[in-house]
Amino acid sequence: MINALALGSGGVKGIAHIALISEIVRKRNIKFDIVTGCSAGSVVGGVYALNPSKNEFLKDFEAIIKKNSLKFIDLSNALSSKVNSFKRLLYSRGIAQNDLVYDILKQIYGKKRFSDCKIKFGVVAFDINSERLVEITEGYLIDAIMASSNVPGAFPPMRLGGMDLVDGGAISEVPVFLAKKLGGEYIIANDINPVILKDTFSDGMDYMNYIDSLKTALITKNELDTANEVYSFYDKVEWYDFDKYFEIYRKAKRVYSRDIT
Amino acid sequence: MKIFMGGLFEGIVWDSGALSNILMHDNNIELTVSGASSLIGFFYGMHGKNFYKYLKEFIEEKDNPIKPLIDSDLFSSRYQQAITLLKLGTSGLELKNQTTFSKYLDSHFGTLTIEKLKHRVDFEVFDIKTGNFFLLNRKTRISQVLLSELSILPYYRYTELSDMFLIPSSYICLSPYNLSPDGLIISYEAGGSVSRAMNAAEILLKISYARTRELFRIISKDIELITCESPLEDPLDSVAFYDGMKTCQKYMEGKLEL
Repeated sequence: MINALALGSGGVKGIAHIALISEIVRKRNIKFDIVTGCSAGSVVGGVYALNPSKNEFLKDFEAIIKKNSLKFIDLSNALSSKVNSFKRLLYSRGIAQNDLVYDILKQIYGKKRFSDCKIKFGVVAFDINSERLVEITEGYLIDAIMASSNVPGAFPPMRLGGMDLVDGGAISEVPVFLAKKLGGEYIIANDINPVILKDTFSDGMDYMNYIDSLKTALITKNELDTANEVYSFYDKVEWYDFDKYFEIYRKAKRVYSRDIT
Repeated sequence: MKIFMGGLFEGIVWDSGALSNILMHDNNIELTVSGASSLIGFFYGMHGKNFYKYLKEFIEEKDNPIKPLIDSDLFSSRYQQAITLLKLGTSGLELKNQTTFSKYLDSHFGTLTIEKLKHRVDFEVFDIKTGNFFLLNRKTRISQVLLSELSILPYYRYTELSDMFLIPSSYICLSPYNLSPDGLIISYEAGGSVSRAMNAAEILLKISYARTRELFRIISKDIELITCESPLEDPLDSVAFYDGMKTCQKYMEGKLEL
């Protein structure tokens, strides 16, 4: 049986993927042959694919987050300021520069390539010109993961291979189909961005984002329905609240410890 | 023949042409509509195969509050984008006043209900509180039907009806969601594409629309579709009506590549 793991997008909530992997390995002693990821899922998936025998790698991410804490604060401020956001939404292709993401990913992946991974690894990004999902399974990890994590609106599209790429979560939040394409026979999917139904909205942008999240949830369900096991983790934090990573990890540990048998 | 129609306003003329052609061959249709196509559905329900004449008159009425939805320049005007961001980001859930729109529809359609239409039409909506798609009850007043079906973001907010928050299904997935395998979808917009995104606001709009089209692709993959063979320069011009007729005729003759 070829086991595959599909890790979804969700910004800082990607820390929950680490908790999931550690709980699954602890309880089942399972070996994954394939990992796919979108956005935060690609960041965690890449680290896991490079060294799948290491089951607990929170400390690696903790060191990166601590080292770059000031940069994360700057990013959080840039994204949460309405005045700045509105201006940049109109006059640029992204609110913030993605140099920050690049610098951080460089610290994690350096010049490593997909071919350096010990297990099969693939990520998804979305080309805004062709409106198509792009599956990346070769080349430099940093380029692929950067494209897959490129939150639209927040960062400008990343130019790669003649495409303008943004976060694959645009239409494939949890890449189960890619895991199947890579040969996965038993697929475990982790959705860290489930939609929570609501009926009050802080303003029109909140309302529009909510309606879009309902669309995304329907698309994601179509993909999750084909997985063999699906886990879900919800936390009401913004994707860029990186200072909350440890609370998220602890909460995720509790959830997965309860849900994984 | 079961026919499904949805979409926003870009396809309303072309889709009308395609439906008119079908009605020339087959008067016994089961029509399910959503979004801007609810207007096609209503006027078909009232007037049968001559529906387009009445639909056109309604759309061209002076002071019709649906005009901003039809003449939308949100994707091309930076000024409109700035106004939209300011309005939606600082206060309301809509750019236009839904109460005014509601009064306009009430004055037009009074107490007429779906069940009173001469020809059977079903109207599908989406409840954002529960995430469910469903057909409106046949006792629903036409003014409430159209208010719900034209609650198109960012112009109008959801419509509150029987403790539900309703928007058109086609805002979510371009057509009615609950399609049947032996049905036929008419959708000009399924064949079109949004132009290049110049700024972050346009990128977000484009991705939102890409999600709609992706959902449409998922739900419609095994169902026959009539769409434009190539996007038209002005899809609201009457040329679009005849193009829709012509494309549909090709489909009826089995000459359209599906």
